Amino acid sequence: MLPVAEAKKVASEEVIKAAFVYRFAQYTTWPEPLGDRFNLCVYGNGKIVNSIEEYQGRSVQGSTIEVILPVANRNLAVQCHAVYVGVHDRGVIRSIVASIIDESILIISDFPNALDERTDIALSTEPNSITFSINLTQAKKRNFSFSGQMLKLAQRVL
Amino acid sequence: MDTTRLKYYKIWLLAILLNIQPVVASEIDSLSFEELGNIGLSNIPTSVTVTTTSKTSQKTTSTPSAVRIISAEQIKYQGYQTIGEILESMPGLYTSSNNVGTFLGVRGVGRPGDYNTRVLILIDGIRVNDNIFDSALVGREFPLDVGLISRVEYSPGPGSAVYGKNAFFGVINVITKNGGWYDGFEVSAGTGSSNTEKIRLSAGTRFNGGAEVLLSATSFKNEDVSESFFPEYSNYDSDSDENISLFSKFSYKSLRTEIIYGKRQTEVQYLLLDAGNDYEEFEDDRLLVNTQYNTKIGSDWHIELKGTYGDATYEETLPYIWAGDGLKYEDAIKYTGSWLTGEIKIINTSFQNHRLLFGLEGHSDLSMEVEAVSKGNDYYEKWYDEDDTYQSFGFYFQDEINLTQDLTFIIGARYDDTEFEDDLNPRVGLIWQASDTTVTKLLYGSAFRTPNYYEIELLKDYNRHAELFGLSHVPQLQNEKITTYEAIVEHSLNDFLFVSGSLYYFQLDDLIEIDDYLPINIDTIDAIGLELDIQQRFENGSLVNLSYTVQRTEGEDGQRLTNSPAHQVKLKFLVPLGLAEATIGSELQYISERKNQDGETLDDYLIANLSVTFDITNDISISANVYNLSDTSYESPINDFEERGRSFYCNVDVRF
Repeated sequence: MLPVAEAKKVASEEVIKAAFVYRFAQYTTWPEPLGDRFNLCVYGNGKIVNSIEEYQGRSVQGSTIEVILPVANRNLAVQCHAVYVGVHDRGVIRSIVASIIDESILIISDFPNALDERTDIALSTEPNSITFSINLTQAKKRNFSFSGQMLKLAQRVL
Repeated sequence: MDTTRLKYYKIWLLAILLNIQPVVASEIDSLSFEELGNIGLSNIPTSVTVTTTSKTSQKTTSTPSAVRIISAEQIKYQGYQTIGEILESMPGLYTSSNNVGTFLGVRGVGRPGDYNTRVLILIDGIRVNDNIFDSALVGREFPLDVGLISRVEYSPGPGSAVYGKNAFFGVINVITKNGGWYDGFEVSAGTGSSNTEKIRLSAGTRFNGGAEVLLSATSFKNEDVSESFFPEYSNYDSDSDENISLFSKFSYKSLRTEIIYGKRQTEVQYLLLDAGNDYEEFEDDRLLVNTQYNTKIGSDWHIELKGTYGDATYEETLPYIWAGDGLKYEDAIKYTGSWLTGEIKIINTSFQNHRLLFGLEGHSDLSMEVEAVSKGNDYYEKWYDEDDTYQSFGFYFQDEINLTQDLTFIIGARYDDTEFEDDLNPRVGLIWQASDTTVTKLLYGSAFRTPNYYEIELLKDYNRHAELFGLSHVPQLQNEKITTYEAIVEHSLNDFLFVSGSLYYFQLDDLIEIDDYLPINIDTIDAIGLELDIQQRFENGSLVNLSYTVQRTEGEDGQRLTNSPAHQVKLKFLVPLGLAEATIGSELQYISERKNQDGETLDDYLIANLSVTFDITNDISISANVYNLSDTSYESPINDFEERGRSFYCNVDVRF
């Protein structure tokens, strides 16, 4: 029998997406200094919420992550530093984005046409990996800047 | 099939499976940002988006097609060398070759002598099919090297409702890598049997601000040593193939320009009476230049403008000895074509639960020419020269309506005004997300192709001769039409096991066939088929894919068509060995018996390919590949051409 070393690393789609969200928080510069708490708001349900909740209490740029699950019809978005929109209904995405469009809130989504919906970062599921693209034009309007490495690793920068 | 060979495969299969060792995924936190993008998915994803079926991004589960994807990773680890090898690994697709090219069979139809006119092939959405034969061949003739491919999407079923002509049995979109993926240089060099030598040089980067550039050049050469007709002329004892391709892509924000060029020269040993061996020469070249720009107006209007210039040449040269002076001359026939296409595509999302797509596409065949010359020994005579130009335009519309959260209705059509008959092709689809794990799709659509310039010229030539000999004219050719009904079920049994089944029926009317240089609309074809696909993933990153296709495609006489295998079984593995960063990619393909162009039965065959890749670092990998492992001998249905026996290829990729 062959000796078994570590083979290709694999993880579930949601675990990888959550890990990316955490990296985005680390590699993005907010226009205002972050306070003690980093509010990460998550719209969606099921596995992606659980995966992101794993980062509750973790540190990002000296702040502590607080995962918030906004309740429908109750706009908590203004408190958020970043929003993950894991809902795949265009109407819902639009209303969320519209409610926070002028705020310095980093909007991340895995909706198929996410970058067309004025989000900053889109996560895409490939057959055997997860990639992300950045809408730099949109993000600049909200005064975000990203590290060079993040811009380099993005699949597309618009 | 002989039983010792079967036994051999069983042992080999077992050996592969025993090597599957579960490996626990390491803590995701310890990975760098870069490594995060390289982690494989332990589950089979259902939210991958594709753009090929409807010219817009859609999740595979909400696409009106049983769409298939082959990723760059699979291309690398399975050791695919041509687009044809990638395609024949998919359910329902098979290839056959002759000396000159590689031809695709789709859903039981692969007419010997047809130049892939019934499949639309795109590179990044740019039409590759030329304007002479409407052809895009899938061997070395294809103008893009496989190393530049990010993924291949295949959307089976009629696509004329958005693409117009030639999107007949399906649409294949070859999507390329971006400059940013390279972030530097790459040298890829390989060697193998038949004196194969290949080198590809690429450079790509993404500048701050998002501008990207990718430049790549590939050179490929092989020489097949075959037995000489006359041993005394041993210097003429080989067939050869040479291929050069260039690719460049520039993009900045929503503007993208691509230049794609490929040239292929083939020399095939040819017996010249009284003079021994010589070569018949074939040369193909193709250039595609495309620019496109996307913009948004407000939040609801998304507009894409696109312009493409293309040209293609195909030349065949045949030597002969003229009895008059005993000297050698050559007859050459050359087809050249160039075309210009402009398209405006508009997506509107103003209405809740609707996504509207409109488009207008104009196509102008700037030139289409066929000329035949005889030359040699200061002699040159052009004895045939015909040219023409065609214009056409198409308008399409599609609405994707979310009737409820789980039910999507897709309705669309395209009207094409062509040099021949005008054509209207609808698409209707009902997609029901029955549960989190099951999707059902019911589809109806039609597609067409016009007679191509080559067929028109053959017919003109025939009618000219008919006039000379006082025979009656053969009437103008009609468009070929196909109507397809399809039911698809896609189901995830669990996160790691996915099955899909597609049952289709189509009727093809007015099939154009060339019988002894005379093209005519001869026949109606009926087909029923089932394509099953099973994918399994393992925790160590192994992927296993089994597909089975059964179909019956018959003409009006109730007989199964030629080159139409009833059964196809394909089994693919990708196994990270957990040893020396090695990955094994392997596949088995079984194609049942079929008839050749003379109506004789060709035996079924089973072939295996094996590839081992060592990823020495993130930037250096070495691969060794064996194709047709057991050296199975099988014939192409075209000219009884002997398909490739066992062959080897080794490759090194270095990025810096």
